[in-house]
Amino acid sequence: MLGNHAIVEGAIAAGCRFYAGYPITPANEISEWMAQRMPEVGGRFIQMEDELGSIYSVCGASLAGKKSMTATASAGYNYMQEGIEYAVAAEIPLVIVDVMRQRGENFPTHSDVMQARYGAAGDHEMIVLTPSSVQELFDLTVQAFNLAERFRNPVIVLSEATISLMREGIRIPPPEELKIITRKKPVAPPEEFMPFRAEEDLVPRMSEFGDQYRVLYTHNPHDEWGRIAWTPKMYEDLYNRVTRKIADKADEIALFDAQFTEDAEIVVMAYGSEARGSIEAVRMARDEGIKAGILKLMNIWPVPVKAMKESTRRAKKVLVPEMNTGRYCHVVSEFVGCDVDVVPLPKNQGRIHSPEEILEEIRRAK
Amino acid sequence: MEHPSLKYIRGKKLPHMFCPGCGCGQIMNALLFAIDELKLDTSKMVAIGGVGCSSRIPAYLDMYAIHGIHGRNLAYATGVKLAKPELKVVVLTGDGDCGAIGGNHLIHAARRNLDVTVIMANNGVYAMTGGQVAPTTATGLYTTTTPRGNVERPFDICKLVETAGGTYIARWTTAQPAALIRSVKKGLAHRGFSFIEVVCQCPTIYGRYSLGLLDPVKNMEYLQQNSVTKEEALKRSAEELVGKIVIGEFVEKQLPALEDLYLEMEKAVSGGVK
Amino acid sequence: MTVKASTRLVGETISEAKKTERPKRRFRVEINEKLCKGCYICVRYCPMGVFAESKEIGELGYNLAKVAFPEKCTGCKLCLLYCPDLATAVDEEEGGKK
Repeated sequence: MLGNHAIVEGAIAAGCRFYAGYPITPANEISEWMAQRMPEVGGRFIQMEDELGSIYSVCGASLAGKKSMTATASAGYNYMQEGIEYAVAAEIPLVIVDVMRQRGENFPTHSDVMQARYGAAGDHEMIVLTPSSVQELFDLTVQAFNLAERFRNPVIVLSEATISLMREGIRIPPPEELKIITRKKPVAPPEEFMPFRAEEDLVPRMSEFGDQYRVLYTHNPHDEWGRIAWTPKMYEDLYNRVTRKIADKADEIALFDAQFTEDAEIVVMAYGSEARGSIEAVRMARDEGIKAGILKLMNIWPVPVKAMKESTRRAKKVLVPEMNTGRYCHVVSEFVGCDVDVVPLPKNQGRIHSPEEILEEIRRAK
Repeated sequence: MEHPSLKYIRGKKLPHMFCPGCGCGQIMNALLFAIDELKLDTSKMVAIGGVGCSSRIPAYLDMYAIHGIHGRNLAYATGVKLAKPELKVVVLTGDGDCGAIGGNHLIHAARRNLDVTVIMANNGVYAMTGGQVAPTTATGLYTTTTPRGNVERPFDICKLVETAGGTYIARWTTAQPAALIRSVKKGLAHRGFSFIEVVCQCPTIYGRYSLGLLDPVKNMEYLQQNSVTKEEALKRSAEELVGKIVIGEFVEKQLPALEDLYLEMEKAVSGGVK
Repeated sequence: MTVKASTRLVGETISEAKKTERPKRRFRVEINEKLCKGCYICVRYCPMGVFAESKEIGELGYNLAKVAFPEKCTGCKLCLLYCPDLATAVDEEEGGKK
């Protein structure tokens, strides 16, 4: 199955029933397959006039009660920032797929690792998932919907031109094997229901258009009733909660795969398609007797600090291969840089590192 | 004893933040009279506003409301209507919100004949931000960003929507409240893209700076005196119509709405949307 | 003698109306001083001149409009349509014909 199609099937398996998109390579196949599949499963597809139309119409559809998704590439993702900011402020569950591509060209890249987290204005946390194979595109898209519904926040799936346009065999589990999470509906009567009052997990219950709750959704600072209010304390409290609901659970959200890290002296921390070459390189290094390990990150934001620290317990060096001029290496450095040397491995040619290149770096790091 | 529209206001939100004599209050009032006379179920309605004075109206209404991003009202509306076609969506917007930044969404929603009612308050400037020039500002007028007079030609947004494919298009001013209410009722009942432009007074900004009239009453009289019905406009020359506001219903036709087209298409696939 | 519009029923001719004795319909008119912003649109557009400007300052700090001549009200309710602040209210008093 094509990577982009796996994203669609993952979305449908998770319950997505509304999709809006705009043509952009390399995400076109997502829109095209969605156009085909949505009516078949009782959902709706629309091609909007631009990315702005896409992001805002999925906001509207999610508020109306449907699990919604849009997909774009790096350039289109730029346009969506204000919409993402709105979804954070109004706490709208959304999934946005960003198939990263180079500026002005369709080569693969890891250009958006920072933009995905920090692109939107205002204070926010973002959950960003980084699949590295077609199977993971399916699995992590399902996870993305679950996380979006659980936390009432946009979740970004950072695909790349490599895996999105690649074909691999995948296994689609039957519905009974999948765990699907849906937003919690209000139980209080309308006079008592406070739309932005959180429960213990800091996430409020969510009503939908057409039921009896008549909520005002706004990105202006608002109180727990949803009333627009301009007091400094209210603004602070609101965004403390909105950010903490995710930040506090960073370790629970963390998705990663650590291999050979128990005694590793050199750890490769890789995400996306870089993880593919890295695993191979680490195995080759082990064959040579080098104590190398790999931490494959399947979500890069919120930063899985605990996983990073545990995998580098015995390490002296951490290598971070990326398809850019060095971005996530700074994040890794921030959290484990006191204890280990972080060696960035940037490669900005529109190609992933080959296993041999990473192995060479592992040897050099010894 | 209270004003009959107050029962549609959310909680105890009034007095609203509009200036004394603002047309937005009258537009809100007209919408509420229309809802009342049509006996609409407000629990099945969604009001969507962007940014600007008139976009603040949804925050005051006792129904589901999106106070969204500047210009994106019709994009939200498209998502809402396609997700839940049974909801009635009314979009409150302004000439800048709808005609400038939201222009692209406007023409496409009209082209799609999305079943939504758009009420655009046209005061000729970006009033909330202090009075910058808007796509509907007449040539020659002073605004804060055209201090030497506007050199550009304005849009006739009703004509724009007509070309784009809107199926109920009307223009009124706040000086014709009864006609406005009738038109809003028609727009709400119309199946398809309804667009009602309301030329409204803005005494604080447009009136004061661009027209030299601060008094709300003088602003309303200005609107009243410069309104020309479309039948009358046919008899006048182009020079005579400069500075006049042509009011009336311009387009009224029945075409399948976007939601109906989707339902038709889906019937062929899976027997209809669940 | 002209017959006031508020005392002639729909479909009734003028001569029929002249013959029937009817009490004049009376209306109560109020301005909510918590909402009035003193734009005076009601003063200008009430066809009977019920309202007037005043120097009294309301809760919001504006010079209020006042109900000066409630007895002139014919119940047309145009003030309800024109008021931007939903501050006006009109109610019919008992004893008048509906």
